[in-house]
Amino acid sequence: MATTEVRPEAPATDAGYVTAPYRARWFRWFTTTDHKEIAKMYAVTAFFFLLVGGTLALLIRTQLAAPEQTLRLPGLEVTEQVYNEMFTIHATVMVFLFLTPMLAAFGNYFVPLQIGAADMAFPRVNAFSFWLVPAGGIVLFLSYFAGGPAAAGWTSYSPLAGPQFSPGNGVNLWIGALALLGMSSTLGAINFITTIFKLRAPGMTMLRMPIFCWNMLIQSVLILFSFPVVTAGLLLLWIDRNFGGAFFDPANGGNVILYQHIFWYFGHPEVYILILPLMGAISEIIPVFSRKPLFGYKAFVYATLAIGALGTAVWAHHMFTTGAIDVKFFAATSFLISVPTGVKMFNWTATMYKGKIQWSAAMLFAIGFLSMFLIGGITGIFNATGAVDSALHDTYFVVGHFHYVLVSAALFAMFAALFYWFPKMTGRMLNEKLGIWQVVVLFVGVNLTFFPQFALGLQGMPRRIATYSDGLGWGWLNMLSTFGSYLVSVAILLFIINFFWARKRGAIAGDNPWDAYTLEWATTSPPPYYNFDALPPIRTERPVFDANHPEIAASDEDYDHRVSSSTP
Amino acid sequence: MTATALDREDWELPDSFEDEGGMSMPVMGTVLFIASEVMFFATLFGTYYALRAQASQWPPADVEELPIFIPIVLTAILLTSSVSMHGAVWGVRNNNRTVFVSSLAITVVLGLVFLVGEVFDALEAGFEISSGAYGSIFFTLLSFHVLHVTGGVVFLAYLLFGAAAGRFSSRNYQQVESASYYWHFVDIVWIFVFTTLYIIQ
Ligand SMILES: [Cu+2]
Repeated sequence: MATTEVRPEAPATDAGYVTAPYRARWFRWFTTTDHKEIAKMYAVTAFFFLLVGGTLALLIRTQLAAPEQTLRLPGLEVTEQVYNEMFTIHATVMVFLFLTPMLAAFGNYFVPLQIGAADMAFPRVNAFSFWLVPAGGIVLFLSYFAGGPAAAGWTSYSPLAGPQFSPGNGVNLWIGALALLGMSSTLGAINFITTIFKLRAPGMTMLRMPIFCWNMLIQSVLILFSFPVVTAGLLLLWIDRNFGGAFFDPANGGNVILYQHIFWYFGHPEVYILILPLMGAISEIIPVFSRKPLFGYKAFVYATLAIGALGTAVWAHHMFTTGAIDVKFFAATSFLISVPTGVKMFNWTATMYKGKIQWSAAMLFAIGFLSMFLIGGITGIFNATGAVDSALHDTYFVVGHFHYVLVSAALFAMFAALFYWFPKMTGRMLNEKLGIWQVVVLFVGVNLTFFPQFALGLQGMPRRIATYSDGLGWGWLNMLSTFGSYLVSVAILLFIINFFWARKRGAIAGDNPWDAYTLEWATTSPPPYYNFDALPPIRTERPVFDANHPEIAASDEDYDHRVSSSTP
Repeated sequence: MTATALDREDWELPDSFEDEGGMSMPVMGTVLFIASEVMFFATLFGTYYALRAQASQWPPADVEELPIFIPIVLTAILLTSSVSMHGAVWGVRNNNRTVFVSSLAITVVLGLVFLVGEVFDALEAGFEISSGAYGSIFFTLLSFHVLHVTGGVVFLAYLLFGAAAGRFSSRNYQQVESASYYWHFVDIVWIFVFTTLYIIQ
């Protein structure tokens, strides 16, 4: 462990030693192009917006806790208009300002490290991508001072979001924010793809690349092909709103269904954009804490490719009730996409099978992810069934379904990744005991919040209603759900406490506290500016494991086979 | 769980991280950027054809047939600029400064002429962006193409200043190559715009 205390010697170049250019500390954050610093700024920004979006979620749940009530707080009365604004901004913040930047944080920090590179392909573009995120956030929240924010839902369907029913600046600024955030993601995707194709260390073939990088690669391709589409669609909406355009105005030759097609052509891949990197992180964590290589590496890569490809052909399952699309086709493709997803579930559980499982907090969070994702996935099949969906569409069943994927599963995976990678990013360990408490509270919390929503949906409670009448009997399930959401915020608070505690008092991590497999663990914690002074030889997808355990690498019967099979 | 002291004898740091085969990084970045732009314009063209497919009459009865002469001239200008752009890349690749700088200058001038022509021709149309779905998509397609040409001309002008200062050579012309890909892309989009708006109508 002594190696951690001393930075490895900087590699010499003709120009001298590689060090970060000197800048005053406060100034550094504004000018840095180091992928690790940018990643940390992404993470902090994302976590800030998690708290903003989470506060809105708590307000929404409190409003719905009991029937026929109007929540009144100092300076806030939750009228129907305010309620509509809250769920619109809640969704926009969580999708575009929390989860997307959080994934960009993980990708920025660990893609270069995992492939043995010194930085991203375009460091200055990378910094620009990051700064577009706070810019987008500011534009979005400016609307609170410009006549009220958007209130047409995160989908902003026309004509609801059109000039007639959403006058004012709210939707305009919302479109502006999404255009900035979309540009951020698109430039980021270009950066990730180029980095992965051009900057892999010698010996790091595509099929030796960590699964996390594979998932970032396919996520980036999805971003590249879906974000420009929604940007174009939103610009059309903007033209309708501000220049008298008639794209989505049937009275003048426009078409409202067209908007839904454009939106969901992006909207469905967006779900995979939000979950693939997390699946990648889980695929790093489960093998390490099962002390086994990932079961079926190649199958996992192909499954990810299949999800990416099929993900572009399922979008209209969000439009079953419009009557304007071919339900059978889109139901079939939606069922089909559950096959590669099932392959992944199989790979993860088979990796754990007969492994020497270490019950660390990161591993428990990962297992939490598997169980939550299973529920989210299975309820997705209900929604994908055209006949069933016509009853479930726009009910709380759908709300429960996508929150199981994008909150329950995503939070578990995000905390798994944070517990796993925090030591590398800061040099200190998070508190394991507090982490396990957090697992328990979060698990109870998310299930209490979202499971009752399935029942509410089946009883017919529509989404996006500000309140409901007493006689419907939805009160106690809603109360349960609200109570659960408070528990979720306790779990997040536990993490914040853990974070500040660990920064000062956490155990010193050392280079590789988990005896993990991939290249980010071959350098110090945190890594120096230039990342690596030396790289181990890369002969499998687990170079650091091979270097740490030469006896196993040499005696492993499958070793030669795996080496040859992972060489394309 | 603690890692043993590592035998780092066979560890080394590669001299160069960049994989030298295939495209250079800036060119790959440009190609990926163009891919995203393709999706952007595909959405606009998709919108055009979707609106056209559901219309009972397209273009609407009150829209006069658009004169095609100026768009044909503009197409010829833009295609010529693609050729001169190609010449600029050839020039810089072969260290032929005269060909490089003059071809680049010709491309910038042709781009400017095209821009002026496209804007004035669009203003001549007897309808507006607010006169129904046809007008909306007509001016949207044209405006976004104009914006892209403008971006291209600005970038080419920036390169021209660099070229005049002798910044590029056969060993350093990735920016010129990237700009040429982008310029050809903008040309191809114009061919689609021209065919869609003026030929098929
Ligand atoms: Cu979907």
